[in-house]
Amino acid sequence: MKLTGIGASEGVAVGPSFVPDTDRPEPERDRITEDEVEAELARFRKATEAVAASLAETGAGLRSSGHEEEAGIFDFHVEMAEDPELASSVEERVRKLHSPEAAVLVAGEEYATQFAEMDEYMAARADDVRDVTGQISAELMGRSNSSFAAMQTPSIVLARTLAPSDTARIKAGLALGFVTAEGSRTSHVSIMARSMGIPAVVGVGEALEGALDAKRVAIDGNEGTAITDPDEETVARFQRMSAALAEERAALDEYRHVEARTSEGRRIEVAANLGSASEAEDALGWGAEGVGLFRTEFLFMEREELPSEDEQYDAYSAVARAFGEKPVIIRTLDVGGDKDLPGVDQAHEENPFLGWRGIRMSLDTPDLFQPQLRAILRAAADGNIKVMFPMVADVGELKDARMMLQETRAELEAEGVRTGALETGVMIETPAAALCAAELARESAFFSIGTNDLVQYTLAADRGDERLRRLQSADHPAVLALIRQTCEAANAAGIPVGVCGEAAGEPDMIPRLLTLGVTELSMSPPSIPRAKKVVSEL
Amino acid sequence: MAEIETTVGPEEGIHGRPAARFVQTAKGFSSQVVILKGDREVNAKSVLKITGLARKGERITIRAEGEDAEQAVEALAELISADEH
Repeated sequence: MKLTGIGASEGVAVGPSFVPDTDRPEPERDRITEDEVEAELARFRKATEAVAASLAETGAGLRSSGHEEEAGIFDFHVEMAEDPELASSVEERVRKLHSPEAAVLVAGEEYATQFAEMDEYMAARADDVRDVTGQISAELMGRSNSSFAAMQTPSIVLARTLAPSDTARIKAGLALGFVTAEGSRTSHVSIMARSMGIPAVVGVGEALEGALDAKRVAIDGNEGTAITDPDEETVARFQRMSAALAEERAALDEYRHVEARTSEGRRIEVAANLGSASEAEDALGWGAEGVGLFRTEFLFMEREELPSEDEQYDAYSAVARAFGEKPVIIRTLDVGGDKDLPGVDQAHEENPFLGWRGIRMSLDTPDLFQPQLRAILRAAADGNIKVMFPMVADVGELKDARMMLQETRAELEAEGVRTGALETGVMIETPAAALCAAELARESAFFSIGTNDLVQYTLAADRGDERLRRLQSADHPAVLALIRQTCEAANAAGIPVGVCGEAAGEPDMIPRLLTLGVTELSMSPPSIPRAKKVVSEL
Repeated sequence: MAEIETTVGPEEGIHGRPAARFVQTAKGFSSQVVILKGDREVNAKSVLKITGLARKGERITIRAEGEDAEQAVEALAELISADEH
């Protein structure tokens, strides 16, 4: 049987299955007698202390091994175990002659129900409360709350969901992978799997029920699939894939933090494309030497009001501070008419990709553009920020945008607000910009070629149309000619030229891009070590 | 009694690690501390009570009563209005 879910942690593995008993503990007794009250309350306090101490120990272990994010989960759990309101609610029930092991579950469930009703993120906190109160109840009954003690051989864990206390109790090296019915990429189990470096497939749904009897499981965390009781051929295939991936990963790990240089000694900066400030730490871990493209759309999408200048400043400043002296290129807003923007009348467009977007929209809506420029100028005081304008088609647009930037800076200075130095560059993603590159170079401090849109516009081929796959690669003579022309203009003007489209991370494309004169590559963070290796071997 | 009104800073609002940090700090003061939001008033030393109480950008009031009330509200307001935890 094949299970399909979300590939939440990459890698493949095959091994025996292990199904932990994660059912909630059943209280042994519901009621106590009047003369037991004080003794039971003392037992409850002791149990919460024991659980809090054990959680704190797990957290400290994670922290000392560098897993700060996971350790934070345990800080939260310790506080829940020691919560004064939880304690008084349990005490109240015990005084009404309920057993503490039952009372703590009921009290925990009240909070869990509240949290579950809020939103998706808070629903995950509901599981946290149930997890902690379940541990206190189990402690009161003198039971181990974990069936992971029974796990002896390295196995693939199959469960409805896995709480932090579950994953933390698994002995090192015993878990080969996780398959869960619930969860998303941001669930605890996914975070833990990535930090443990094992594959995880989450959110397989009800199908998991039918897989619990499996003797053996093969899991592919890249594809997001798991095969129960695989045949010998599949097992052999997974074992080969697993070995090859382990070898490749080890080989690439050496490249994470090197400065990529070709054999001729050309230094190529390898940076990350980021969609939000929260991805900064992860990108640095992959070896990012800067941010070649910081998309700002995430701040504007799926919300009812436009983000305030302060909110934007917080996001830009956070990424700038995370990267310190390393450059961070912020691209001003680029939303097409295919996506809604709160409070902006975009009107329906026949061809949103050829419509009112990027710098075109920004120049027409100062109410949208100026707060963004103000936030970027302020954040520039906190790090090495550069700004880049998208969808530029001629030098007039660039001049207008730079004028607006200058006016905004003067305005901030008049107000006495701290700003920082800011280089301005152009995203080369329309054929027009590539053809006008020489003129644009005189007004820019850098270029960044957005190959995804440049390919789509040059070859007149929709990026989303499956049938046009042949016309969706930067490896086309027309696209390469435009890249060459852009690089020549940049080199003549003495400004750097980067690539921040998918092509920048493709091992086959990197040598070509460098030959054409590209000086920087920016890509999704996990592609960075491979790109550095490719550059180093040229 | 001391009181400060402030805006919630952390991206995810009050829960998880920021909530834990907040409660740990509150417990460091002998004063009784509460958070007020709208018509709700909750114990600032209870992580379960403050979790989910407010989101980024929302206004809350921190009120303390006791010997170190001033220091408590100042420290807590600074913590909860910061954008990083």
